[in-house]
Amino acid sequence: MLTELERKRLSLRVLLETAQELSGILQPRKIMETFLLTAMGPIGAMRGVAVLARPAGCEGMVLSRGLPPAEAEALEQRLPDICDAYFPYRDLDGDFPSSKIRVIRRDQAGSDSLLPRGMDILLCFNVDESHCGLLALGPLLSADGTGAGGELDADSSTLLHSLLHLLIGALRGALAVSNIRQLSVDLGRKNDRLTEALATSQAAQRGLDRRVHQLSAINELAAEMAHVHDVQGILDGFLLTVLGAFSVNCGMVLVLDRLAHSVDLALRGAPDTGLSGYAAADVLVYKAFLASGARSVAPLTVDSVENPAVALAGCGLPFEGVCAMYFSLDRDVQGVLVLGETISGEALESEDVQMVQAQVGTLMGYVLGARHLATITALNEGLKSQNEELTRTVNELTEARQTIDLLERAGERVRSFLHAEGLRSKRFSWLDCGVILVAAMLLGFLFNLASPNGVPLVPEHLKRPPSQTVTAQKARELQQSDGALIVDARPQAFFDQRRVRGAVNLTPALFDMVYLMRFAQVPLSTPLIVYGGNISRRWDEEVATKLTAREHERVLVLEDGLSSWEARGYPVEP
Amino acid sequence: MRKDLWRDVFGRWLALAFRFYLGGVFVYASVYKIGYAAEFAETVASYQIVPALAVNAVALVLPWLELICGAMLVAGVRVRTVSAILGALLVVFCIAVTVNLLRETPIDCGCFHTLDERMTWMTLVRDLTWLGMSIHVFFFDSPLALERRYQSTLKEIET
Repeated sequence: MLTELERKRLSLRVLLETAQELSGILQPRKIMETFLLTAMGPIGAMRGVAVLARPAGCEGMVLSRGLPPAEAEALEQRLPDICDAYFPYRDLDGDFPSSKIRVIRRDQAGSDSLLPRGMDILLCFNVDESHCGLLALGPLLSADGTGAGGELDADSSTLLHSLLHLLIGALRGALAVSNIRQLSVDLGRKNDRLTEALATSQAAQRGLDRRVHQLSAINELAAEMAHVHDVQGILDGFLLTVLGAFSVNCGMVLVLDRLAHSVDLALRGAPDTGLSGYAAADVLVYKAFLASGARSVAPLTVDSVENPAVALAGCGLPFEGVCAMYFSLDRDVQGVLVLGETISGEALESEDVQMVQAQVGTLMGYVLGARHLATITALNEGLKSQNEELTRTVNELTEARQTIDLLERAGERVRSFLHAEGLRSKRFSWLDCGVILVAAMLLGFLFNLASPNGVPLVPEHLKRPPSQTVTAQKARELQQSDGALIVDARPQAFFDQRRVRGAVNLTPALFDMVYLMRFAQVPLSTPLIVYGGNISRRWDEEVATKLTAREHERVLVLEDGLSSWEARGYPVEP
Repeated sequence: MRKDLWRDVFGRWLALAFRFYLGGVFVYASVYKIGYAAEFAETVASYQIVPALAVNAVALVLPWLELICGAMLVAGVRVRTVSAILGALLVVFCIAVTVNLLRETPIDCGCFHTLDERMTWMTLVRDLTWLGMSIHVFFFDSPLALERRYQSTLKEIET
């Protein structure tokens, strides 16, 4: 009984000491070493091997005591095999058997060769979800000290189990501490990384802020440019925006038009040193072209100028160029953008340079648009003036058309008049006959009135009373009885042709002369019988009148003249 | 073609010649008569056809009628009407000549001058020839007419 108590007390003391030993230790290896030291004694084992392993990773530690160093080293080499042999459930991924401690018989172990001979006490235990342990002890010292003891007795087994529980507790604590430490280290590392990431993100934020600033400035520029239509205004606005967006002190942009021989220059932050002159601008553009990557003046190209401070030296730039761009709108229109130092004195980043290049591309679009607008406006003006000209011409044509219509109508009237006249000229017209007759009468009468040789319209003798007449018979009697003289009043031709025998020719025309010659001696009392008249002329009447005027007493006119004389058969001659 | 040529020569150009000849004859004949109206009146009277009352009037009007018609014929104005008038005058002259030839009236023709050659049958033949010319002129159109200027002008305007 006492012995029993003694043994229990001893066991408890061992347990207490072991617990005390293990309590302050935090490293698992140290715990295992201490446990082997403290456990081998009370159990009475001559050799001991303790294994702590993570079956999932086939890694762990092997501690031995009482083994020769070569064997201990070989044992450490066999750790994966030990894991395979004694922790077959490693693939269960933490789902270990519920019993914490398993006692394995030596013959149950598959490979006796893994552990040194004599280690008959094998105990497997689970430390936590990922760690397992193996404790091998033996051979035991017998009570009599000869060794080669067989199995543990019940008390020793209980003690061993208790000790293992202590070990498991200690290992768990140590592993937990180790885990916590590891976690702490990881946390610190992560914290460092986080700090770095924060710094990086802050730098990126600053970059982004700058980009946002630049982009908003460029956006404003775009809004502003929409209302600017002249190249100079576009250049001014562009330069102002670019200087502000990239925080540059001074800069200039110029566009050279070789066809128009003109230069548009915008300059800020420095005085103009004559770059607005065509020759200086031409030199600058040419140098920029040479220094840029451009090999031809292809339309709408932008190239940055390498090392502008050197390349553009001597061009009369009023400041030192830090960043320069050569751009070409087409074969004849090229330009240069030169930026000076930034306000902070730092060089522009490559991204900034790329952005400047992109913006110069945008600028080209605006300048091209403005130039096209100017061309279109000029064309429109030309069209407008041409339109006015056309309108004027159309008006003139309309007026001319009206005049032509008028003339055509007049011409038609003239033509119809001429046509009618032509027809009349071809026709016989009674009207014309009448007109001609009336004209002849008027002219004849009027001329007669004015002429000194005019004749009276009615013969004078018709106005006087007719003379006394006598028949042929009576006349014959008078001729024969009273010696009456027969006077022929007709013209001489008639007289010569036929006459009353013995008649004397006395015409009115030659009256005075013939009267003097032939009738001067005729007594005034001698009867004178006058004949010679016809439908047209009464010569007898005229002569009778004249003879009466000469105071002849008996002047008679023969009735019906010569014809009645002849009808009576009175003598005629020849 | 030949027919057209003959038609042209014996139509238009002959008519032109007759126009100038007849017109000239009448203008020439009228001049003296206008100047010596009294003597022409005696000539008219010698024909013994015109009543005594009308003799002077005829002697005053007839020369002017001849002058106007002759001038118009030469100029080529109202050729048809004028040739008709002259034809009518010639018809009257022919009748007068014939009548007086038949009467054997011893008178001068008096066509151009008061003291003309004695009227014979040749006078009638001459007057008939002139009558034929006037008829030809009446029926055939002739060139070089003053009035044709209208026609040619008209054609120019139309082309």
